[in-house]
Order: sequence, then C-alpha cells, then structure tokens
Amino acid sequence: MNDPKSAPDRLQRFEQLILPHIDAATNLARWLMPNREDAQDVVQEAYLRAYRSFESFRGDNGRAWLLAIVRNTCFTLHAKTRTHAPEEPFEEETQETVCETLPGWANAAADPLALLERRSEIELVKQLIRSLPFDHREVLVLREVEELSYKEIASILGVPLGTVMSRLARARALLERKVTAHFHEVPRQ
Amino acid sequence: MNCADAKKLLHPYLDEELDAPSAIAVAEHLQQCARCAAELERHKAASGLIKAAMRPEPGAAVDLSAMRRMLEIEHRPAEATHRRRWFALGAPALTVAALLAWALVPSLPGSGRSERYVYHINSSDNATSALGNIAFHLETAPKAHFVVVTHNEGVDFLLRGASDGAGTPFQPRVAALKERGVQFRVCLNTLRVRHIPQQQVIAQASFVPSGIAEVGRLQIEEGYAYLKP
Repeated sequence: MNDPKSAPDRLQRFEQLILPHIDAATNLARWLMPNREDAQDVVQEAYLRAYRSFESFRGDNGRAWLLAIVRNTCFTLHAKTRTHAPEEPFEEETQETVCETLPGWANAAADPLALLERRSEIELVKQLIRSLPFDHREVLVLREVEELSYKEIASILGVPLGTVMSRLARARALLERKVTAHFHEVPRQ
Repeated sequence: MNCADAKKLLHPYLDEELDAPSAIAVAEHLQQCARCAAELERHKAASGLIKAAMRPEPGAAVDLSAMRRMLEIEHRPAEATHRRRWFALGAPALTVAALLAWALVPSLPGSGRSERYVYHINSSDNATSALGNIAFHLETAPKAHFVVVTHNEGVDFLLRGASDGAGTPFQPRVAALKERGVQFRVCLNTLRVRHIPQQQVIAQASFVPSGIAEVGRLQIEEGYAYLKP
C-alpha cells in the first residue's frame, strides 16, 4: 500500500479516494448553504482543507470523512446562515397526524395521475426542507441521500448516536407537519 | 410490544438500524397492528419523497477538472509558499482560495463572488431577442451565473409548443441555454391566476412562488445584477 505521506502518491491517492465524492459534497453544501454559488465556494474551500489534512485520513470511509469537512466548512465560513431549531418543544403526537393531501406522502404506490403531480410535489417538499433548521437538514441529507448509518452520522456531527436518532425523528415529523400545514393554508390564499 | 414502543422504533426499523431481536419484535407487532403498519407505510412514502427532493441536481456539481487543477497547484511547494504569505497578511481563507483560483486556475470563478445576472421577462413578445441577448452575454461572460425569471405574459414562451412570430419553437433555444447553465424560473402565482397547469411548462424550467419576489430576492440576497431585455 502507498504511504499517504509520500508526496508523489499523495495527490494520486487523494484523487482516487476523495475526489470521486464531489457530487455528495456539493449536494450537502447545497442543502446547508443559502444559495448555489455559496455552496460551490464551500466545496472548493472544503477540498483545499481536505487535501491539507489528508494525513489524518485513515482510509476507511472517504465519503464520510469528506462530508464532515464540508459540513464544518459550512459552519465556519458561513456560521451566520445557521438557523436554530424552533423553541417550541417537539411533540410525539404530531407523528400521528395523517396527511392525506399530498399523494406521494400518503400513498407508497402512486397512481399515474399522482405521478403527474409528483414533480410539483417534489418542488414543494424541497422548499419546505429548506425552511427546516440547519441541524435538521443535515441529518436528512446524510441519512436519506447519502444513506449513511446512524453511527457514521454521529461521527460526522460529533454527537451521540441517540441524538442522531432523535434529530432524525424530529426532522421528519417537523417536515410532515409543514406539509400538512401547507395544504391547510392553501384554501385561504 | 405495544404501539407506543413500536412507534418509537419505526424510523430505526425503516433505516435498518435495529438489532435483530428488536427488529423481529417490531415486525411481529406490525403483523398484528394495522395502525402501526399503516404508519410505517406513511414513513416509507415520506422517505421516498425526501430522497427525491434532496438528491443531487444534475449538473450542479463543481467542475471536476478545475478542482483537480486547483489541487495540483496546492500540491506544488512553490505556490504553497505564496499562499502562506497571504495567510500571514491576514487575508481570510476563502479570499485566499479564490485568489489562488483566479491567479492560477482559469476555469474557476474570478472572485469570491462570481458575476450573477437576473433577466426579468414579463412579456413573451421580446422573448426571441431576450434569448439572443443571453446567448451573446454568455459568450462575453462564460463563467457568469444567469437566471431568467418569468411572470405575467413572460411565462408564455416557456409553455409546451410555444413558438415565436416566425413559427420557430422556443424550446430548443431554451434547452440549449439551459445546457450551458442558464436557469429558467416560472412564477407560480401567474400560473394560478391564468389557470395554466404546471404540466404545461416545459421541463427545462423550474418554479418559484412569485416571480417578482424572486427578482427582488436574487438582487438582495444573492447579489444578482438586474437586466431587462
């Protein structure tokens, strides 16, 4: 195996192990930053940081390692964009709210008509996810898109496993509440 | 296992994060309890929607070859010395990265903030000249970001089958610009007021709640320059 500290191999190894995860890095930054241009700046900066600290990479999971750097770069470069979780306490009961207004949400098997609606439905879900707090958006993207384990997410965020579980539940429930609320508001507009 | 216990475990069950005994206990409960089984189905559907909404947008990634060149520069000790000097001067990290990119990597944006233009179109009468303007603008500023925001009669040229006075369809021209990174946004308020179904809008365009609000937001929040063709 190549020694990561040997200079000629370093760039090559980095290109093999870290560069391929650029889509995942960009997507995470895109969800954590307010706009596409800032997200691209973050990815660029995160890659520079990753390359400079490549010695600390132990070679087990390049994607998780890079995503942790992307996430921290978002924090330090644009800490002001961080939105805090709402003060209202999380209520377990909200999980029971049945949402019947968004077909893709309520039915796993969508009929052809529902598929037609799905495009605008996804646009709506995107908007509502954007309105979630930073720490909700990050667990959702790491779990739902990157499909990382709770353990990997815990290590990226530097929090205990139980916190990952409760944040995920909270994020999913809050999103569902927003979807439901959106459809209750529509007739009034 | 009762419903309260099962409900707490539904997300980890779906995420395959439970140990075998707990997973079996949940599965057994789900066979007996239609209510919890229905809730699991709802979580599954929600998860599918979240995945679809959050997955990477095609073409959104940073240019890989530009990134590779940036790393090669970072790799060279000579330039690295330069960079350290900038650090010593107290320039913020992002500016340094941007400066480095500007000086040595031609295909990266020219400064911390790239050029950004919003084209505001509220009448499709001049859509032909607007698309032409953008194409020329793109030639002069190939690295700039372009967003076209349409509302009122401006949405018409982004509807399926739309063509100009000479009968030439708009869609291929829109698709070609989109291909080069130009984004087209359509006002949902306009569609609602004019009773135009969203399905009638061509796939190259995306939607915003209000076109006019988007024109304002891009200028205030994202530093876009306003252009009215």
